[in-house]
Amino acid sequence: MRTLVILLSLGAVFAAQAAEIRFDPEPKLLGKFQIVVEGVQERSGKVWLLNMASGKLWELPLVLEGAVLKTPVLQAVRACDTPDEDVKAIEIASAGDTLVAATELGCGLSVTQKIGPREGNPAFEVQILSEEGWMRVCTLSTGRFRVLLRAPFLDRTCDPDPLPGGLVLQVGNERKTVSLRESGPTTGEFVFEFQGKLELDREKAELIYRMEWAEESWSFPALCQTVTFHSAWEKEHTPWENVKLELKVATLEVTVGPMAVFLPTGCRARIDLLRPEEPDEVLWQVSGWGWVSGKTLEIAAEEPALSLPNFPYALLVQVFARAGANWGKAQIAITVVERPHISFVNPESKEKLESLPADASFKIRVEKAMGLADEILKVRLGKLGLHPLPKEVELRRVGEGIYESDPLNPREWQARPGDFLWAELEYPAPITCAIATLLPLR
Amino acid sequence: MILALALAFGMVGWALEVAHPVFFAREPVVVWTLPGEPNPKLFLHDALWPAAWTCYEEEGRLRWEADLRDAPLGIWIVCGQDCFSFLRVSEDYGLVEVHNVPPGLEITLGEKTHLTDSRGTTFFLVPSGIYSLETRVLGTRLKKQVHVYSGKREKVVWISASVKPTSSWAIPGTRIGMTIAAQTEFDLPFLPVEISLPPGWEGEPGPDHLFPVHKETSALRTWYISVPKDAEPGEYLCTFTVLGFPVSAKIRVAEKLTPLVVVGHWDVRKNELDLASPFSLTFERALWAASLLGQPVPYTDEIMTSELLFEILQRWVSEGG
Repeated sequence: MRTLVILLSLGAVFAAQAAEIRFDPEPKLLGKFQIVVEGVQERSGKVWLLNMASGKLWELPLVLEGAVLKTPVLQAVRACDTPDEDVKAIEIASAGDTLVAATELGCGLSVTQKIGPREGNPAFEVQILSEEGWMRVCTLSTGRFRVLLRAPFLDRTCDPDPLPGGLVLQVGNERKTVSLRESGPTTGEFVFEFQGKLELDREKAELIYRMEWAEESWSFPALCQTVTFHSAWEKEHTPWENVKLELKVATLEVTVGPMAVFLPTGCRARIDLLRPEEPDEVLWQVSGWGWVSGKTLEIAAEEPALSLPNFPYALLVQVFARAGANWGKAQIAITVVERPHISFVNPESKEKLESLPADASFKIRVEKAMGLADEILKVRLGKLGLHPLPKEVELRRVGEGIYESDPLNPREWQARPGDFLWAELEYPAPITCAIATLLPLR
Repeated sequence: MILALALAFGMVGWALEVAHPVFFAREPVVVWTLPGEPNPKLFLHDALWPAAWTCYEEEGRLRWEADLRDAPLGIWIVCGQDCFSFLRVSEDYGLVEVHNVPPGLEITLGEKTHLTDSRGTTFFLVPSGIYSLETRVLGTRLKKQVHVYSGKREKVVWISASVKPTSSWAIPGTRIGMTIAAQTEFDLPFLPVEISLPPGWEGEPGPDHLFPVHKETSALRTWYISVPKDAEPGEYLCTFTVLGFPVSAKIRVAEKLTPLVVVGHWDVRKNELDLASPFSLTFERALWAASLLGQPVPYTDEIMTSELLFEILQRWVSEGG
């Protein structure tokens, strides 16, 4: 204590002199520094260095280097640190201790400096536990994960230091704060381990990402989701800005064909799962009506029984596929349209024919064929019974959803009175549809 | 059904045959082929459909059945030696099949009018309900109420007819009888019959030919056929088209008959052969046969021996004599 008083007195007496004493660079935990005296006549001398927190005092020689006097290289270390071999260890309790350096040279000089925190930029890293150990990842999926926050400046003491403000997990506007401590006495690292899991919530027909750690868990919709990990220390702790890391939840890539379908009532559409090629589980759901499994979905739009819906109306098909522990989802938009109408018509009046003389001409007309982009629609025509002579006839678009053939004659099918001609609309894939009509000949 | 099949077979002789032109979704598709004909193949939209056929022999043909319950509806084609297109429909509709109608006749069901095809059939695919099936024959409007149920096939057999000769054997210059048995779905003022006989043969309707016909009861009508005196021995076909439905009987003309045929058709009172009366062994005819013992049997080359008489008497006893 007496030494301290002397140091402070010296400081007070000689403060006004031109000579200077300073730390070079400013001392930091585990950082190397020297005490430099300049602007004095002496070519050697001593410096007293006092740790005001512990009261420990060091007498350090000053040696002339060029035009300045310098102490040996010093290193601020705690009891738990191992100093470098070529330095003089200056023991401190923790970062933030105050050091006072004083010398009698230059009619007495002194300087006071707090021990700064450890050097090193704060940074986040997320790793997954694989067969090769912890591997860095940039997405979240199913597995054991750890979030590593490297913040050496938060390693202040020889005990595992707390992470000020904790680790904040953020999904959308939802936040959770996890309290963390340094992973070891001097690591300067904070580790948050969790089990990540993609799950299918059948009730909500939604993919869920579940994070489980300690005795807590947090789940949220997984699709197109980003999880943000960020620090929340306050400025008073450090000059460092808070850091954050955003990771997307990676779901399985699921593709189906087709992605959009115009489905006439009474028809079926076949939707195939294209990727993954060898899924372990595939589940389909149509607008919330139960679940169907299998790589292919056959969907039929039944004729409305009691109430006629307003056409068109939309159905949403969702497919969830799993490969291993990874789930993915795709959506297919189904637009249910009115059933197209096919008829044999009078070539001139376009009126529907109920029957036709076996030698008279007719046209085939399709109406309400919605959702077809082609200018040409194909219809098969034949005779019911023996020797059907089926032929493909092209119909041209003549209006919105309306297609018509050129004039045709039953003779092309060797049809006689009493026979029936049939016409069947060949709906383009993936639609399977029995849209057919018969024409009795007289 | 067998009648309809026989008709189709007899008229056109096609190898491949399909049970119906229209099948309901739950119905198996039934196809017949002749032995040696290629196995049937099903096509949907020009693509071969992998049908699981079951097959067994039926009256000399192969009957094939394929369950297409889960297959799409619409137009299907089945091919063996020939191809046949048929329609598969949902059970939302009902089907009325009309068989054994004169070809080319207009048949109306509700508001739909169809012409019967060359096989005398047509069909109507309609929603369930009660319909009036109507047509006009011989200037008379015929009408029948038909109940149509969804997913059900209502079969209307216009007429079922058969013909049976009083004797399958004849000698030139004799007359034989033909009994036509017919059952129709309608009341008719009389049973219209058109006959087609070998050249020189003549036909004459019996006294019952103008009697009215009551629906769903068997009407028996007799026709007398005269065999010309110069008819060569051989087999002749006599065809009767009953309300458009043809039925035929084969007559074998011979110079001599068998003693049994002569005895069974002998008019004891007139002491002459009567092939126009039905064959029957009566006490009087048996007695007449016994009186011929040791003498030639007329219209035959045979002498009535005790062995022949014993055979005839045995037959008389076995027929309840």
